[in-house]
Amino acid sequence: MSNDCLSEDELKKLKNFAKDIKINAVKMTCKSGASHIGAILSLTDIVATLYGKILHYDVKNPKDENRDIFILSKGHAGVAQYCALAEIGMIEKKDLEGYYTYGSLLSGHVSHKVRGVEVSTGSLGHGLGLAVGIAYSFKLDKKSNQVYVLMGDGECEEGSVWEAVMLAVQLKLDNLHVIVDRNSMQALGDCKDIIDLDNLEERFKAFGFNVLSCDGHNFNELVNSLSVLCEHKPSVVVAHTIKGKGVSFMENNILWHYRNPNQEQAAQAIKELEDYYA
Amino acid sequence: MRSTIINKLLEFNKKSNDIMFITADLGFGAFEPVFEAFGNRSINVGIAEQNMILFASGLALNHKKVFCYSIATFPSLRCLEQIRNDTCYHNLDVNILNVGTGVEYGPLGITHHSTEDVACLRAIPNMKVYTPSCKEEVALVMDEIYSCGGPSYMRMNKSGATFNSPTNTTINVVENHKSKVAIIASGTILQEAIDYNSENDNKVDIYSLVNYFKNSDMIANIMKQYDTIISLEEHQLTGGLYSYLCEIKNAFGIETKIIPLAFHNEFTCVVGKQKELRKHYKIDKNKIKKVVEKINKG
Repeated sequence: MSNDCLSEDELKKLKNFAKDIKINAVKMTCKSGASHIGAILSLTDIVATLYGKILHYDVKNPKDENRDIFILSKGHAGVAQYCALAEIGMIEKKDLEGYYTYGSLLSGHVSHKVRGVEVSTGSLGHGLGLAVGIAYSFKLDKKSNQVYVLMGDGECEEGSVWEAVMLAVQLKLDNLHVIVDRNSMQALGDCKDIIDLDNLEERFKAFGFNVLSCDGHNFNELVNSLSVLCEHKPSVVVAHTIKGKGVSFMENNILWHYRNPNQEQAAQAIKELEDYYA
Repeated sequence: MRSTIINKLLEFNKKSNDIMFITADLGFGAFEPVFEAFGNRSINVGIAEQNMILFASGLALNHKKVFCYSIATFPSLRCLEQIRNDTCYHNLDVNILNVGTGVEYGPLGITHHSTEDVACLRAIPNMKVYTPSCKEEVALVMDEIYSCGGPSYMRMNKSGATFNSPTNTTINVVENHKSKVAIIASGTILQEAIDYNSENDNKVDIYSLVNYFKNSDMIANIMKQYDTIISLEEHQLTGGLYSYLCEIKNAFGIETKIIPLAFHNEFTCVVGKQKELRKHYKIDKNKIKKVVEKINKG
């Protein structure tokens, strides 16, 4: 995958975008006691790339009929989407302070009650089927809106994912873009020890998808992969990532699927994230 | 009843280009005219009910009015979480048409008996559950769904009961004999009550309850008129018609006694046709006769 599609300035902006999301996410999970910081750090670079470079949206009108659709199917990493929405001005940054607390709209799993969020998710395996329906409706209406859905690799163990995959291929939905956050870990350990998802790219290919693979923490590769359109075929980008990326003691450590950082750990994590994106 | 929904779909199709018809590979020999008329707005998603509801919900998120068709427990229990999280939480215009409920597919066995669907679906916020008993009520419900939108679930059988001129989608008078006992039936099992009256002198008033979510005051006013109500349903005791009438009785402080005729929370594993199973599980005209006799003896 070419490594030069972004200018230095664009790359710097995306890095800062991702850094701000991650630092806010660390603060929010520390303050609230919420889980899933490992998954959030895993997919933040993807979310930043989508909102920073790929998606068409109007912050003044979240229901703009020409917008692209983004569904975060692994809703447990919703903090990343909330923070991205705050960074682009879709919601107020002060709204983030209420995350996970009584009376806030910002539930632990991503909620469509929040401005700019298309659908609520949290139970895995739902997002892709919804995205297939939306993508087909755009085809019927002869509209060019694109639909992006971000899933986990563990999520691919849900049978409903493959029901949706088969229909997407059958309907030739080339306006559908699936991204798999391939961090190779799930709630109780490594995927390979639970359900081995080896050759995930080949599996999607066998079902008829246009398949791309990239480093999910490399912004140039992400932009290149997510910009590909393949006529008459839905696309999937298998983005190879590291759970807990950017924080040494969280990386590839299953404890951080559920654990939330204490004050000391959060301070250390923020320092490391500042260095990582410098 | 199935031919009525097909005719209504064809009628709606002439009014709107945003009507969609989705099936999970069922409806052979019946829905071909719908596929022909709807063209690319009709989709067979394959044998994949979870995806049927997800796909339908996605379509509805982009302002389509979607009708989903299937049978038995497939469009209800198989995809219950999708109905809850995606269709109902997002309050989408997805409308499930289930033909083949209760024990209509009797000899096929319990995998094809839809005997908990009302309980499960009416517990979900925003879901509008309808249980019409005849094709005329189906037509009224279809018109209501078309104009008011979903989420909705309509529970039917291929063939309905026979009575004249239902007027609304809440509760209809089927027979009025000014009795002190009335039967309120939900769905096509209404025919058992009609058959009881036609074969016996101790006739009772009969009503058909059509929905489980609105105008409970209308139902309460009817219940108040009687000493005893017999609730008649082809569904488990828990969560269906009997439960609904008990909720109304308590909410409105009604003293009327309610006697349930329902499956007693057991799997209907005896092999037999619908009529045979109604008789076996004592929710038929013979059981109605015994209950009415007992009531009249005091």
